[in-house]
Formats: sequence, C-alpha cells, structure tokens
Amino acid sequence: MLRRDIFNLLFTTNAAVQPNLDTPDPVVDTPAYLVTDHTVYYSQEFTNPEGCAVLNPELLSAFAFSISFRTSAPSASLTAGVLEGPEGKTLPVSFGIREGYLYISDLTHETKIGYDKIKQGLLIKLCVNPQPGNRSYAKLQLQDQSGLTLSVLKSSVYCSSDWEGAICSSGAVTSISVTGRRAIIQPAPIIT
Amino acid sequence: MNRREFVKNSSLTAAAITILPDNPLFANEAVGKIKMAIIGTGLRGQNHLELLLKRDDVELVAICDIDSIMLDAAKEMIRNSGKAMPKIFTGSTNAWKQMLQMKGLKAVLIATPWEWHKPMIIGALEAGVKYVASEVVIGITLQDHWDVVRAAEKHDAQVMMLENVCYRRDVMAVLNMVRQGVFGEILHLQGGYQHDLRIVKFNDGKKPYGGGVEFNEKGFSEARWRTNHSVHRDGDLYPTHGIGPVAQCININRGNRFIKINSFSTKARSLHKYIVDKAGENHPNAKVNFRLGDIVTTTISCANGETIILQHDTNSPRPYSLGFRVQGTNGLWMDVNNSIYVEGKSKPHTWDDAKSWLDQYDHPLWKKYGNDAQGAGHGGMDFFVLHAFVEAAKRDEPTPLDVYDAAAWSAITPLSEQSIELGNETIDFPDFTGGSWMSRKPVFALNDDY
Repeated sequence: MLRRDIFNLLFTTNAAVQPNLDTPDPVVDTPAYLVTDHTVYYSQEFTNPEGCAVLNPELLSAFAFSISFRTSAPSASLTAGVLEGPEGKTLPVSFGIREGYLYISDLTHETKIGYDKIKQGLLIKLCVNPQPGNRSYAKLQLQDQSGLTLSVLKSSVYCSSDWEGAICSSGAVTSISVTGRRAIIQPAPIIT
Repeated sequence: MNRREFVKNSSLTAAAITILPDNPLFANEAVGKIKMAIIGTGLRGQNHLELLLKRDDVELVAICDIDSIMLDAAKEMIRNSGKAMPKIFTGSTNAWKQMLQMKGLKAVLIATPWEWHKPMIIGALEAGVKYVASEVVIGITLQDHWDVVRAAEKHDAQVMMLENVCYRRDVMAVLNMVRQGVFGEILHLQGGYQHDLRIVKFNDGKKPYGGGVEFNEKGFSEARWRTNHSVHRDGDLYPTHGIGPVAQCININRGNRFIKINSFSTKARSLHKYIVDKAGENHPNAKVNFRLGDIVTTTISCANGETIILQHDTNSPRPYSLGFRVQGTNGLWMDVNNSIYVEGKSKPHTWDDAKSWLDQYDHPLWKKYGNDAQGAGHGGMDFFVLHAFVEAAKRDEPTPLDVYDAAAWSAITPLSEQSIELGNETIDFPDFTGGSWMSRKPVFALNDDY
C-alpha cells in the first residue's frame, strides 16, 4: 500500500485535511535536482559573448543546472529561453543586476550592492532546480571575486521548460558559463 | 609555471607515488637533512619544537617569537635537547620577515595566532621557501584562502596545513575500512570540534588554562587572541579537525568536492555565564557581548551525493568529542559511543564495540610508527602530521595534505559566517582546484610510508 493510500484511509472523514492529489507525493517523486545517478557533469563557457549563445536544450531543464556571468558594471543581465520559436514563450526570463540591485524578472532584491564591490567584479549565478510536474525554482546569487555569496534572491514561479533555448547577454558581460548534469548517453544495444 | 600546470604536476607526481608503492625510494625514510625554522614558539609551537628536536633529519636553524616568556621556554627545550641553538628572531612583529631572509631555508613551520597565518605563509613563499607548514587555519576571509592558493601555485611550492586529526589512530583505521569497502558506499559523515574551551578562552593572565576570566591584553597565551574571535564572529570558527578526517573518507578535491554549505548557530550564552559564575556580574568582562553562538551546526553537500554535518561547540560544559560518524550503505562508525555496525557481520540492530574492528583494520602507518608516536602530542597524531611534512620536504615531493585541502577545509569558517549573516542561506562552496578535482587522485596515507 502506498503512503498516499494510507493517508487517505486515515483522513477520509475529514475533508479539511484531505491531501491535494494533484500535488506530487514528495516521498515517491525525487526532485530532479537531487538526481545524480546515471548523470555526468557538463560545462559550457562563452568568453566575451556577443548577442545570443544558443544552448542545446537537451542539456537544460531535466536536471539541476546553473547559468552564471561575470560583470563589473552596475547594470548587466542575461535573458534565457528567448529563441524558443514562434509558438514558444513570449516572456523570456531576465536576470542580473540593474543599477546595483539584483533582480530576476519582476523580483528585485531590496539591498543595493556598493559600487566598490561591483568595480572589483561580480559573479551573478542563477541556479535552477527542476521539480516534479515541470515546476522549477530559481535561486539567483551574487558572488564577489572570491566566490563569497553576497546576496540571494529566490523565485519559484517558473516551469522547467522556461529555460530552454538560448541565452542573450545585455550590458558589460565578460563571460557566461552554463554547468549542470546531463544523462549519461548509453550506446544503443547491438541486436544480432 | 601557471596554475593549470601546477595543479597538473601536483596530480601527476602524486599519481606516480600512488602507483609506485614498491619504489625503493619510498621503502624507508629518505636520507638527508632539511634546514627548518619555526615562527611562533607558544605552547603549540613548543609541541612541534619538541618533536622536531627528536629528529636527526631536521636542522633547526631559526626560531621567531615576540613573547619573551615563550621564547625562553623554547630556548630551554633546545638547550636540554643538546642540539645547537638556532638563530633567534624577536623584538618586533616584523621579526619573522627578517628570519625569512635567511639563505637555504627549506621549510618553515608557522604556529602563531590565526590572523597571522596567511601573511606568514605568503611571506615564506615569496621568500623562496618551498615547504610551508601552517597550523590550522590558513586565513580569515575567503579571499585570504584564494590568496594562499594562488601564492602556492605561483611559487610552485607546498603548503600543508597541520591537520593532525587526520592521523588519529581510530580515524585512520576507519579510513582503512572505508577504502576496503566495509561500510559500502559512503553516504553521510559527521565531525566537529566539541571541546569546552572556556578555560582556554579565559585565564588569570599568568598561566594558560583557567584561574580567571581575563582575555585580550590581560589574558595569557591563547586567551590573548583567540577569545576575541568569539566576541566578533559567529560561525564554525574551527572546522578543520572535524572536516579533515571525513574529507579523506570521500576523496574531497580528488574526485569529489564540497558543493554547498549552510550554517545555523544557537544563541550565545555560555561565555557570559562563565564570567558571571566565576567573577560576578560586576566584572568588566560581564559586559562583553559575545557574538559566537554556543553551538554552530554546518551542513555541506558534496558532488558525489554525500552530506556532512559539522558542529562547533566550544563554549559550554561538556566532555571532549569530535563526534565523528562515517556511514555507508553497509553500516557505520560513531566515535561518541565507540561503536560500529556492519550489516551481515554485526548482530542485527546491535552495536559492536569498535575496538576489535579498529584493531583489525589498524592503518599500516600506525603499525609501523606507533612506537615512535608514543608520547607525542595529542595521542601521537602530532608525530604523524609532522613526519609527513618532513618526509615530503626531504624527498621534494608534494605533501599528502596540500594547499587545496587546506583551503577547502579552512574556508568553511568564512563561508559558515556568511551563511549565518545571510539568514542561514545555503551558499556555494568555491572550487579552489579550478576543476581539477575531477582528475586528481587520492594520495593521503595510501601505504605505511608517510
């Protein structure tokens, strides 16, 4: 008997505590960002990026991944998923630093980053953790040159597929890197 | 030599050692003698001095300290050993820089207050010293750790943090068990520094342990500098004794690495309570606001899927324990109850007394050098960590604990402080190896050599 069934048996008389069956069972469904079996790390780096860097969509969204870029300007950003196609999304995900404030889409951090820290160079890193049901949450971190996280901004409004497509830079972005996991590609079985 | 070449060469040399255990060069202790100096002859420096004076392969050419009491104690030890008196450097906080100008220094050992470690390590490297041993930790800020790593790479030199607990007998036996697969695939590890340091943090200004509630300029020995960190900082201030041994079990920086970290701290109560209990609420130090939470708990995740919990607990009354736990798919070891459980070998759901297991898997290094280590500080561990450093220096080989280990273990402090500062945020753990952790091979204690 599944945990969910036991739960239903115990609580069927009390509507107020009925579980929402549309919600994935956290016991049964391991969040994709925790899956490491049969996967390997991958990493792509683009130095002095101009315009958009097309990513292999297969590399993104299935497992945890991060997109990061370096800048020393008070405003610089990336947009992701913009080249999905005519029937694709209309609102690309934009994130970065805007006049010293960390932001992702409409969400802006309340603390302004001092210009002295910006001048020394910053790493803006977006970590995306896919969840069951095509949901994903994103965590945007601002790190100084030593890799120390200075501030964090989180958002949980995205779908895993929002990130597929390309990454375009805007402002003084010196490098972009994409890291994550992808499934180990098994060679096709030889049928004799 | 650039950074990439440095990392590659270190890995290749280490790999060569790994695959050539029967090379005659490594069959016995290497011959020769190295010229060595010590910066810091306080109580910890004197521990190392005592061990170095027993070695015929070390020529102690200089010692340095600004504290005349500690320096006199060191000189007395040297006189009693019958060895030649080294050159003495003292009189100013820059005396160590003069000492580093000496010609022919092969190795330097640093045992000074924490905030001096980074400048002294880098100063030694810039002076051309190729082997630098530092007491834990190697820096205060995260940038300090990068500075030490970059300096070691730039000067193609070895920096070994003297993390002695890696050589504790039970810890090494458990490492041996891990390597032989007794616990299966490792899942989770715990360690920490759970040591009631109240009599270290406070004393009467005349002797090192207890007898008063003074610290800073009115204190003596460690109370003169260490306690101040508890006033101003909140984080795992002393992580390396806990993390070093467990990092070896899962090959951190050699096929694995720390990925993320967060920390939580309790309220700060016990240091204030100690002062009030011992000296009353009207003592000036009863007005000090200590920032360090009494118990700081840190969680780390690793690239290969393991988790680690560290605890820093130095302010409240408790017996000493590092709280080790090494757990895999087949069983686990816990040092607190000195017990082991291995599925299929132990009676189901019943702990085995660890002794028989630890005896059976006693590490070859301890079998070979156990007698030599008797009487050495901290149950013999100090002998092994110093032995490893000296042997590596004599052979011009990489030290078994290298600068990347030092940085990753020691950087837990500023990262845990930052996590707490950000409201217990989980933050990224930097990769000091620049990606080479994926190809570097384990080198620590692979045989009975060093």
